[in-house]
Amino acid sequence: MANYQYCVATNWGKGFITHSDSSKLDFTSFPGNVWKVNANNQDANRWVSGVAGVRKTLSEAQAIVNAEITAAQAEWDSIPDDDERKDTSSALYIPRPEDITLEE
Amino acid sequence: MSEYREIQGATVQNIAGDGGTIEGQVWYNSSSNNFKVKTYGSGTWATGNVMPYTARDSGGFGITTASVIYGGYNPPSVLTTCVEYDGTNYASATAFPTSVQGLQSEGTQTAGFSIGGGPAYENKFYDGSAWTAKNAMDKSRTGHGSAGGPTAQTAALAAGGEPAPSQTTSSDWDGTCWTAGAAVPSWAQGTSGGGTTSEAWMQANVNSETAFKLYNGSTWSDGTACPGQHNYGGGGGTVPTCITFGGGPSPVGKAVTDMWDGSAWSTGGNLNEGRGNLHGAGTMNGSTDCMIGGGNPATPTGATNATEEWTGPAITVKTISTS
Repeated sequence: MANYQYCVATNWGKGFITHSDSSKLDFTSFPGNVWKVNANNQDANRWVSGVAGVRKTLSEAQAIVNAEITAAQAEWDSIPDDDERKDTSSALYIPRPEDITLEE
Repeated sequence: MSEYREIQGATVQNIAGDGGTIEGQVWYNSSSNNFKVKTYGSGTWATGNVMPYTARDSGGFGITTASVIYGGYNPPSVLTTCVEYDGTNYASATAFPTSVQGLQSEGTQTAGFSIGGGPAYENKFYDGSAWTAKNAMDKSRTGHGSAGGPTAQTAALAAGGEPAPSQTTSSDWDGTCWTAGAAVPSWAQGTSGGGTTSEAWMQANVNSETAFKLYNGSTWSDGTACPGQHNYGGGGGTVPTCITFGGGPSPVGKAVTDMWDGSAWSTGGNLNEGRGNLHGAGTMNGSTDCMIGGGNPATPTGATNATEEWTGPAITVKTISTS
């Protein structure tokens, strides 16, 4: 049985996740507005519905995340090699986005 | 069967109520005829309205309901943008005079102090509407820690950071000038911190990310190591109670919060959106109440406009039952 469920929902800000939600559930965000929250949990089910989240299977959520990461990696790869963003000693360095594997 | 007295070295106290007890204590409430325990919660993060701009490594000062966030880095741009937050909504404010990122900040919304940060390493006061340049620090610092609190314009300190040789040094602000402060006992870079010039703390560095350092007004010393690593993470609070959260090293956008109560570390609620590069982002005014705006979620863009607000743990009294 899966430990987590996934949905796509846009964080509108205050009230999207409340302190009450946070005290009862474990939230993790991913690229593409993908959210991971507890499975088999009424509070979690109510939260997904309350934020108008579109439920995704694990493979559907993974595909969304993969597409975002692939695009970001391509953008990073297009940065010239002598750019400060690729210089690990620079304060402006940004690492190449890493692949993310969602868990069941 | 073991007895409580054998395990704890003392008997359970008999108290006519719940008063005078401390966190972790077990006692017998002779008024309600129940065993009781005083527990400490974990604290929680909740989302706030999104910032009107996206940045990591920005600066922030004030309190959750009256704060300022400014500057930062949204690759490839270093920013001057400034906004104010009232606990619900953001509003535009006077832009920082120069592009700045990797800085630290102290003070209030009407008496703020922007401390260091690259590429110009400038120091400026904010009075609620305008920025005023102040004297240069004796060391250039970015990715450093700071302390000073609400009265930082008259007394503050900055410690660690980069570039070399800032990592093991500190600087003291007397309201007019910066002077060399006490030496930091070990490398401190990518820090978070807080407190006052007589009681300050600083956590994290790139070589020993769990390092926790305490300042007593004249000397820095090593405190109990933090269980989590928060390299370039955020922090809030003073001495003895503070929190440190997010940061790295891997993944950079971790979500963990660690809480220090003056004697021990415990785990707080996770950030809902893990992120790093927080060291100056947002208002880290306390261990029980602070907010952050922006940061680095690591992937895919390297910066976010998400806001989160922290409510610290409440001490509660629970009845011990057998069920």
